[in-house]
Amino acid sequence: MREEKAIQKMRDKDPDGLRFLMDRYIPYVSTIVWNILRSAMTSEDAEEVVSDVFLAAWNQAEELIAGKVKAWLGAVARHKAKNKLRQIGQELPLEEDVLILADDSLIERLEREEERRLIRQAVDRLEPKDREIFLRHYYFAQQVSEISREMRMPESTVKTRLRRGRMKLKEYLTGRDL
Amino acid sequence: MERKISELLDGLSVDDIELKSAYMMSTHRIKEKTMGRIGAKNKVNLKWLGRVAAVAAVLATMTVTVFAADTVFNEGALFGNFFGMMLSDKQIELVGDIGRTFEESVTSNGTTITPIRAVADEDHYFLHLRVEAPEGVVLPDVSEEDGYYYDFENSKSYYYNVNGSKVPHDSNRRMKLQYEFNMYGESLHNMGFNHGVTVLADDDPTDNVKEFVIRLHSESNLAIFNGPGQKYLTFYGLYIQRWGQYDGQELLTGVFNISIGLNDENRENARLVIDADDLSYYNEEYDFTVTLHEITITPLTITLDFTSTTPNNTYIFAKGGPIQLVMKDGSIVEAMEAYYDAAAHDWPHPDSIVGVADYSNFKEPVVLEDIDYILVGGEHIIDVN
Repeated sequence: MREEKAIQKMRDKDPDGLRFLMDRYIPYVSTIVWNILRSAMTSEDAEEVVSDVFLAAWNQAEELIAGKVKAWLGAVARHKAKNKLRQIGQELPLEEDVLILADDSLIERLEREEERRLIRQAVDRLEPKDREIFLRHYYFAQQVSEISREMRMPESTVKTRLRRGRMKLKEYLTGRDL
Repeated sequence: MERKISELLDGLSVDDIELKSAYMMSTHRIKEKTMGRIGAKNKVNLKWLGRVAAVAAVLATMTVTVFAADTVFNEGALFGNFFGMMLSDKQIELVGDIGRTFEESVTSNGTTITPIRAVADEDHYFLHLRVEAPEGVVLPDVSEEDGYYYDFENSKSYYYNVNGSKVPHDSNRRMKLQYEFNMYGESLHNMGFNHGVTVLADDDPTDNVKEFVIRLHSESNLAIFNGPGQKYLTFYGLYIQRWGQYDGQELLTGVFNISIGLNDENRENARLVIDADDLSYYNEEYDFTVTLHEITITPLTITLDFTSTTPNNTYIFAKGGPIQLVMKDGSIVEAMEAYYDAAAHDWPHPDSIVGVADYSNFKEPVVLEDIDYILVGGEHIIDVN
C-alpha cells in the first residue's frame, strides 16, 4: 500500500490505513517519544503516548499529506511527549537550552507565523552537519553521547558544533546576521 | 528575555534526519491499544496464537500446528518483545539457527509449564515459557514498585504458602540445571550458572496465565549451553516477593523438569574474534585504565579479554566496557549486563595489574556479519567487518 492510499483509507475510516502507518512509523515515533521521556516514565506510559500520536493521525487524517506524514508524526510525537513531561514537572535535559535575547530583538517583534519562518530560516542556514546535530539535540532530544555515536564523532566535537549552532541562531534571531 | 531553544523549534517540521531506533516499548501493545481505541481489532492477536501454540505443544500429534504457528509469529513477538522490538528477518533466521522449539509441556500439581522457544550460544541460554496455573490461581502483574517474581527457586528462608501459613524453604528445592555427560555415561551433574527472570507483558493480569523469559548464564564457563549432551532444568514453584515484606508469597508449587538441550552444529562458525590492538582507556570515576586485548562476539554474548590497573575503590571491579555494537543499518545493540570471570579475580584487589575476562549478553540476537564497528567506552571505535 502506498502512503496516499493509506491516508485515503484513514479518511474513509478504514483501520487498514492506520495499520499501514503504524507498521511503518512506530519505530520512528517510539524513538522520539523515548528520547524525550526516557526514565521519567515507564515504558507502558510511553506506549500510551505513542498510541496517542497515532490516534491523533486517525482523528486528523484530513491534515495528513502524502510524503509529509513522517514529519507530521514526528512533530506531534514531540509535542505530546513534551506535554507529558511537563505534566509531571520535568524538563528536557538538554545542553544550555536557553537563549538570552534582548527585548527589542527581531524575533520578539514578530507574529507567531513570522517567528516560525524566521526560525526555520535560521536553522536551515546552519552548515549541514551543524544543522543535523542541532536538530538531533534540540528537536529530537538526543543526548550528546548518542549523537556522538550515531554521527561517529567525538562528544567534544558535538558540543562545539552545538555551541556554534546556538551562537548562529542567536545572531540570526536578533537580526544581527540578516 | 529568555527563550528556550527546544521551544523555539516547536513549530518546525523535520523529516530529513534518520533516527536509529532506540526504545524499550512493545510495538505489539501499541498497535493493539491504538486499534482498541478506534474500535478496531488488531489483526494478529499474539496471545491467542500463543495459546494455540501452547495447546499444540501439549499434544504431540499436533506438532505440525506448532510449526505452522511459528510461521505466523514474528520471533521477536514470540519472545514476548523480550528483545525490545520486532526482530529483523536476518535475526529471525539466526534465532532459528541457534534456537529450538519444544514439543512437550510439563504438568505438576495442576500447573502446566510449556516451554515455547529457546535460543542459546555457549554462554547464554534464553528460554521463553508459559505458565498456566490451575483455574482460580491469579498470576498477577507485579510492577517494579511493588516487588518481583522471584526466580522459580526457593531462595528465601521462609515463605507464605497458599493457605497463609509461614513455612521454611527446603534448600534442595532450588532451581537446578543439570548436564548429562553422555560421552562418559555419567549421571546428572549440576552445572554452574546464574539466572534471571523477566515477566512478559500480559494482556490479562487477572487470569492464571503468565509468560516468562528465563536467562541462564554460564558461571565461569562451567556450563556450555549450546553444545552436546542433554541438559535439564528443574524448578519447584513460583513465588512473589513484595517490597517491605521479608518473606515471599507462594503462588504454586510442583516439580517441573524440562529437557532444554540444544546443540547447533554451526555454532563454531558463529563467532568473531577481534584483535583490539591493546586499546587503552581511562575510567575517571574510579581511576583505572583498561587495556583491551581481544573481543569475542557470538550472537548472544560478548567476551572481553583485558587487563586493568587497580580501581581506587576496593569494591569496584574494573570493567571492560561499556560496549555497544553499531550495526551497518545504523542501529545500536547494547550489552545488557557484565559478568566477571571469578577465577581471574583475587579479593581484595592485588596492587598490581589484574587480568580479567568480562562477559555480557546483548539485548537482542546479533547477526555478526551486520556489525559495522564496536564502540568502546563511549568513544573508541574498533572496526569489525
